[in-house]
Amino acid sequence: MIYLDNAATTLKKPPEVIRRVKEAVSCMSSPGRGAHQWAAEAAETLYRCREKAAELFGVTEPERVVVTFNATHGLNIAVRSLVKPGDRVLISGYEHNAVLRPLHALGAKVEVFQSELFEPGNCLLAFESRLTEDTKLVVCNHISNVFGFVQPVQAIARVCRERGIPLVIDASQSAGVEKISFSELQAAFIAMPGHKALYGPQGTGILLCGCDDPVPLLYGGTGSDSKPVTMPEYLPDRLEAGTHNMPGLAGLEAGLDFVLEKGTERISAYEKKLMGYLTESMRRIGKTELYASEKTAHQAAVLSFNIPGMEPETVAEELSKRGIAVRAGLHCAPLAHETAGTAGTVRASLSVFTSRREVNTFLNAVEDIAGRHRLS
Amino acid sequence: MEKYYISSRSLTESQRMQRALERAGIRSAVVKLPAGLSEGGCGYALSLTRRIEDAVETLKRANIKLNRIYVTSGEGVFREVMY
Repeated sequence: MIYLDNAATTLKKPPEVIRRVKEAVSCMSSPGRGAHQWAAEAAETLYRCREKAAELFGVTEPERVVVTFNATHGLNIAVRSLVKPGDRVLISGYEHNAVLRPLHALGAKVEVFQSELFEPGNCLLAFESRLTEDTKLVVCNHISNVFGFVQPVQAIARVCRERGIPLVIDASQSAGVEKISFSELQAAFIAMPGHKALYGPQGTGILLCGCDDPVPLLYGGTGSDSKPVTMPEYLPDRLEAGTHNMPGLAGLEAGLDFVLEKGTERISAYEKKLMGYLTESMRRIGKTELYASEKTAHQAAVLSFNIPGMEPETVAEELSKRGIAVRAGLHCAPLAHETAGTAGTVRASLSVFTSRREVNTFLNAVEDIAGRHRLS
Repeated sequence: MEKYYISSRSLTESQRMQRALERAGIRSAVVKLPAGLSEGGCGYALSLTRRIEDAVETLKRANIKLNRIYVTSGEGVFREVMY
């Protein structure tokens, strides 16, 4: 199987991630729930996980690294902390349902700044033109999960800082492949999953919390300050009720080690080079509608395409028959398709473990499928 | 031998304090704060037997806000100390 669905979940993990998950199942209980060695082992692992995330993302206080179940969990906390019903919230045209649905559920007045794909300058202009005095919050993903478009979050963060508007960044596609500095961005929250380019297992995520009075999504035991019926006021306990996913977090720690050791720049350079090769080859083959940037800086290793006359799902099914895993459809981001003017795409996404040989096999398969479709 | 407990609000805060002391070459352990000393219940502390003044200075330099500090001679009697 050639796995090109890394924007959903990276399937190939560093061996150390798998080893640590297995080990944690039998030698870790729960942090802060006992004085015995298994609780201590769990506590130490969890803290190392926070420290490593803090190192990777430029967080000076490890307690601001909150562990979550996934990016959606973190985004829900962020939105609930900052939005009241009727608040005007400005979001990018490439947001995922993990942003749209919580905003809708809270009764926010959502406004969208839409811009063309791979045009960060236009994106910034669109953002600034929609910003008003009563904008209570800005939410923007760093990289579109559908098109790999790298949005100008640094510039957006600067404008938000200047205007005193809180910013939430969805770093689902960028954590582990793009530089993210929490201290420089000064966002209210940055949410990310552990199971994509941080190479941890599913069921893990990180929420970098700049907001000083976050609202919990879950209420319950924290192993601290147990007498009051209210949640502790301080981080990370305020946002981490219930037993931690220690096997997952042990794996995430190993994933963070992997990214720190390899370096985000090297990972990004490798993926972008391979992405450049994939894009150029797809252009040469023709037969497809390609949503790709001419500039590597504007697109991460996520490529959406269509074969004219074929449904994306049919293309994905044909690829699957040939042993190639991609994703097809709306990718839980109908807004991104509305913005880009598409009605669904096939998405191929790479990881640091994807080889050129695998890309070549994929290219041959696409050419074959498109060719057969033309003949039929 | 006297044992000092530097109380903290949470496990994570104790761990952060422990790391700061570790970097300064001061050995300590993260422990549960004895129930009688924990107003909210389930408190944490850093315990150490030596170099309490150095530890306090190190934590202040690391911008870690200090809560209460207790000392015990090991017979279940704790006394709050100020630094």
